[in-house]
Amino acid sequence: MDADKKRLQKELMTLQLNPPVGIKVNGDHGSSLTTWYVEMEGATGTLYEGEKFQLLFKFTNRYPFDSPEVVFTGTNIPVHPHVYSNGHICLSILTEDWSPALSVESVCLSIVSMLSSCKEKKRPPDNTFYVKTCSKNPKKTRWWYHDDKV
Amino acid sequence: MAVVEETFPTDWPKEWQELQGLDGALRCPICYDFINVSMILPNCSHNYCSLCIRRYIGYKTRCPTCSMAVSEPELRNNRLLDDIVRHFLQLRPTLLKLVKASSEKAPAVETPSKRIGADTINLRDAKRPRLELERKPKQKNEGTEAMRVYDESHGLPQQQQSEGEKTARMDNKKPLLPQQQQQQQQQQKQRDGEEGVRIPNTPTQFPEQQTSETTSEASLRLPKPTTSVVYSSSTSAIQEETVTSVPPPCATSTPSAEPACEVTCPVCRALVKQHYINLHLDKCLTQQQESLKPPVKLPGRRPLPKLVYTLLSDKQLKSRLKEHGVSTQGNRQVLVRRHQEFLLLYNAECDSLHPRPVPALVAEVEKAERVRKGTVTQSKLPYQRAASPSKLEKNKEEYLKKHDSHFVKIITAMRERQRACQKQTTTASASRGQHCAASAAEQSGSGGATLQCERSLDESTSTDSEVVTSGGDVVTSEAAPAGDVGGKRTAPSSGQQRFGDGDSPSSAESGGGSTTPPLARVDGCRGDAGTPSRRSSDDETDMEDCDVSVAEDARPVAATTASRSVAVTTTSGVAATREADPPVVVLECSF
Repeated sequence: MDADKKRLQKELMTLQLNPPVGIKVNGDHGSSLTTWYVEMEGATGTLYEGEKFQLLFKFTNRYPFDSPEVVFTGTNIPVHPHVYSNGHICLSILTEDWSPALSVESVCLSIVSMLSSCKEKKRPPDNTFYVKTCSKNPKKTRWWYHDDKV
Repeated sequence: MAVVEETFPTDWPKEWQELQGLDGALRCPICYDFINVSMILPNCSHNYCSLCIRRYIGYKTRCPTCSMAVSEPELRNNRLLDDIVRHFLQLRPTLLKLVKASSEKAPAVETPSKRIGADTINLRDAKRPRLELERKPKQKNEGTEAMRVYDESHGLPQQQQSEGEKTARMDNKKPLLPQQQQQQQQQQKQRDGEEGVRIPNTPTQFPEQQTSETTSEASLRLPKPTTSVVYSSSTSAIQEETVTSVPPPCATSTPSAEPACEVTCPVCRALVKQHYINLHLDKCLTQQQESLKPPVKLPGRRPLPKLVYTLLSDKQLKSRLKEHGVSTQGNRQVLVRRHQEFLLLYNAECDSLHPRPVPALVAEVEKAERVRKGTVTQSKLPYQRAASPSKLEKNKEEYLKKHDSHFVKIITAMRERQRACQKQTTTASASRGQHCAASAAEQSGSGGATLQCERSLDESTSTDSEVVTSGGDVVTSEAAPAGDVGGKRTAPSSGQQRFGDGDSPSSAESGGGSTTPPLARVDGCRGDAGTPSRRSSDDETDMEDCDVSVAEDARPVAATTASRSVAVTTTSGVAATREADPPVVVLECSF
């Protein structure tokens, strides 16, 4: 087995056996090893409490050296200043700050924490323009990470 | 390293969290496997597998865990960790079994006591006695962090800890003291004795041993502590050079017993007798100059330098690959990628104490490449190029036996189609040849092999009357109706060739005329229209296999035609040669 597959397999097993609170890997979508659907719940005591979201992870064969492609998918896309309505997430660890020491689990936790620290539910200011013009792959967007508060 | 497949830190029972921690700490954060040839990043002390971190540095020159800047030459071996991992891996299965057994046996006692955290003696009584021996070395080796964790939670006696640390330190020394260093020490002693200059060793070496052996020269030296401190603080490069330096000048061989006054050498700070100081100084200065050169590498494999691929021509690139026996097939992009991969693996392997042989690395690189391309199909006939002919023969026989029914089916199907074709032989031969080829292309979904068979058959029947007339029934196969046309001679063999080779349909074409030299044959067929797929030209091995199978696969065993004798000789790796081959010319012309 290739090295990247091996690591993915390990991550999947760990996530399925000991999932962190509010995070679940969904195996129903006919997902392959390179495409995962992860169910996620908004943390209690936050604006997103009780909401359920779905994340789509796509891994290239250069994973873990190359970051996975992560977008919100499904019907419920969180309304958040860093999440566009097409599901794209403005989060530095998904592109330039990615490190192989991160994992699916840590990415999920980062996203939960990003949602949790939100004070006001709103879309990013350039949402409509971005959604119209962006590439399907969020990794092709040149993100500008300016706001570390939320 | 024999890494057990798919092990997780969570294999350990929950009550043994420290073991989970230990298991996790010994894994590489990049590949999640136990660290294989650990490399430590000197700035932040994080450890990774050599291959993993080298590969990652190709992406970003930062520590994956803490983002501290790092560069490839800074990486250092961490042999202690390698030892720990090795021991842990040996221990793991047994330990896991014991731990699981113990936690199953007395879960009621252990869990609460753990939670309380005060009743540690009880806990240790319950678990330790049996496990103590196995647990000990691990705790030692695991390093201070896990030790501390354990102490805090369970109050391990201080004494035990210090003991552990002591042993850990001893372990730490071991890898630092290879044979060579001792030899150096020996050499140095000799030289010291002769020259009357004392150059102390690094602090890691055994001072007692040295002093006892060199007491005879004691009169020539001043007390060592000062010198040793001073010297050891100077650069190690100088020291290495001094060790391997030239024999001492002749004057030194007559050391007088009289207590001469000694002076400190301004260069190396060693104490030298006054009347030797000039000699010594000369030597010292030349040595210092030499020491400015990079230190002599220990014997072993040296890492290869990285290449600037844009500055290399294709030819140079290929020669670089060839140097190490790496395949030079493919376009430039492929070659560059292959060389990068090889370089990575090679350099990572250099860090290992026992690097694997280069051919093994080459094989791994090429295999990984095939995996990447997604062309790794389980070879149906797993040949080694160097396998003995008898073994090949045996494999082939087995294969044929196994798939016999399949072959029969193909052959009969082919015959039927051939008969259908024969009915149309009244039409113009040349045009029919094309027609058949086209029909073959149409049916491409139904199975490449038979298609190819049919087509080659058609070609031979329709275009080459000589073949038709000349061929008897070469096919030895069951149910071969008598008086088949000669085209059959080529056709069945091509069918088997196809399945024997298990590669692309176009390979069947090479078998299409088992009577021709296969390579030429392939070329001839290539010009044809409507071939469903092409053999990838870079697959040298397969080509060779194919050639073999042309010769050996020929279940229509060695051609006993009535009018023409076709000798199918088999040499390993070389294809069938043929004695009489006028049809060849005609066949090739027909395309």
